[in-house]
Amino acid sequence: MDALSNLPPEFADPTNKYAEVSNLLPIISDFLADNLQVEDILDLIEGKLAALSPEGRRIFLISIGIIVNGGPLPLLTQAKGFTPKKLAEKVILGTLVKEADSLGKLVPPSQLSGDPDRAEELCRKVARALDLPIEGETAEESKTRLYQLDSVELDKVQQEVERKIQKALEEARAREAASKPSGE
Amino acid sequence: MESEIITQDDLILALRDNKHAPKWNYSTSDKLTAPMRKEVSQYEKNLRAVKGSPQTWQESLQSSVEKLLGNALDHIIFYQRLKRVRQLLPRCDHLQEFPPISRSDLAKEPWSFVPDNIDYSDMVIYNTTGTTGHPFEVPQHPVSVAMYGSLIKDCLNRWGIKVEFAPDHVAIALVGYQQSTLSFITRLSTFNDGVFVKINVHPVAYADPSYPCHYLREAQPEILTGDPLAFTQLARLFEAYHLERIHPKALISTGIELLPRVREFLQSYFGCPVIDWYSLTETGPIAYACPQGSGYHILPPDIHVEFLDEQGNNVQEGESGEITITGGRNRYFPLIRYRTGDWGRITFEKCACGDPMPRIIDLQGRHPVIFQAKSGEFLNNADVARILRPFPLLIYEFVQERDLSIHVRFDLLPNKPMVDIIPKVRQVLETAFGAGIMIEITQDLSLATRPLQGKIRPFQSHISVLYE
Repeated sequence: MDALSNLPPEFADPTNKYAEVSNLLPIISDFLADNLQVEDILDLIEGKLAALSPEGRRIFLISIGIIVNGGPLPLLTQAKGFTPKKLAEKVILGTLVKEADSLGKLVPPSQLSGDPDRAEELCRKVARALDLPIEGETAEESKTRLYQLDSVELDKVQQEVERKIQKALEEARAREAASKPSGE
Repeated sequence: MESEIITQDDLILALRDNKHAPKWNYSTSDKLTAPMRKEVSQYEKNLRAVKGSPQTWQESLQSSVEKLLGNALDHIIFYQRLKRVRQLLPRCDHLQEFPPISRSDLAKEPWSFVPDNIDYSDMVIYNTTGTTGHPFEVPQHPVSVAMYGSLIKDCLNRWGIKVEFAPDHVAIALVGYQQSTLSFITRLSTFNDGVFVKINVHPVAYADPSYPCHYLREAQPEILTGDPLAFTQLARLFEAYHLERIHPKALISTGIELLPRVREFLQSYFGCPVIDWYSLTETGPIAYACPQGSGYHILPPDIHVEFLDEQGNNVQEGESGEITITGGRNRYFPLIRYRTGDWGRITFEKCACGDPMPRIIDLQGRHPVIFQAKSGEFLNNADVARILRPFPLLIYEFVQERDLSIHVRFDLLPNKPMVDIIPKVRQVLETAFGAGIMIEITQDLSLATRPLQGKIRPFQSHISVLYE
């Protein structure tokens, strides 16, 4: 797991083999065993990982590294009241796989590695999945901060803005232009 | 929004119905409401004050650029995306952290450069002529368009040209020489409600090729604007029909490079100064030729001009670099570090003409490109750009050889299907250039991936230049 904790940029390199499913499974297995003492959900994870795009798998790998590394928020140590299996399901399947799937379509893996905002976004999503409060923040502040960081939400907002501006451009095309006193 | 200006009065009707008038094919106005007129008028007043002192100008520019950067980070998608991957601060001393953008960026996703926090109901669209190979639409606001007039007046003033713009005569005639272009008549409030006519001097627009000369003699515009090709063709028409020439107070030459010999000819022919005007659809006016012939003075005080090398680094004062613009007046399309594709050198040395604004020396770009149809008629790059505009082209190269054969290479906009594009492009080119000319059209995916530095010459002609 030490190799993961520094998140070297080659994890994002599309030519390397780290992020193939067959290589990911032992890494996750170590992660689960070392951090959560869970060993029996690998079959379930294998199918989910195979369904991810290659970019999604790289992002998944980097995400595991961020969580192991402590990220900007020490999360797993604060999780209380979860069985290790439940925790793994929530963190691995409920958050990291889902996020890797969404982010894989939006953000190049290289952008995730070394980006403090994306690391924070990921950790906050894990915290949200586990209902963990963020120290020094009210629930509302945590919600607002996550909204600001949320790549998927931001993408949705941007798509909406794109539609609005495209419509405005289309309507403007139908209007006659104002007279310009000189050419260009 | 309806313009406050009256455009159906006796003078307008007389000019519109004049027997020598062109075939009018468009109708518009300056689209300024009373509050907008006020805004333009205020801009004009500030223009003089801001340009009066270099310190006031610098402070005002810094403030407007920082406002632009802040607004971009909060409200322009291109920069919202960018700030997620790099730290960007809305400060002039951080401007170089913002990546330079090119026509290719604007052509791919023009909407991603439009702020999301403004009312779009006044938006109008202008097409760039695509003279650098990336045709695209530029959204504009009537106020920013009207401010062209404010800048023209400032320039005329710098040249010492006394104008008397008034509602009782034609202030400006914009002349073109194109196979097809818009012709219309209106009034412009920026020119004290003087009349504005936009006419084509190409024979296709008239029952008789001499009519544009007669029309302009009757209209007596104070100022002519247009490109050097149109001016030269106009002079040729006056000569060909032995008509007494017109004597406007100035010619403002736009669009393509004004070659020195052509300027001398036009000055002597029309008996007035010919002012070279450097302006792009994307940026608006940038600079005008110094009356003393010492380069081009930057005209609007609200643009920040940088000169970049091929790698995008700022060059030293006096070294040649790509002219790169930040700021301006277009609220619908505010540009940050826009690489124009034109090159030049900056100098801050005092100029003998008295204008304190810095100058661009050795301005390069805007080379005129003239093509020839089988019939012998000439077309220019704007004609070809217009012909190709309906197609979803991201970029293209259009080359005509001495034997008149045409070679077109292009790449499509993202997500646009290739269906029937080549036969359709061939068809429109055959219509424009005449059947029987060899036309080769190919899709070239490498065009869009070439470096930014203006290596693509979208229009190339190996026939002799018409107006030299």
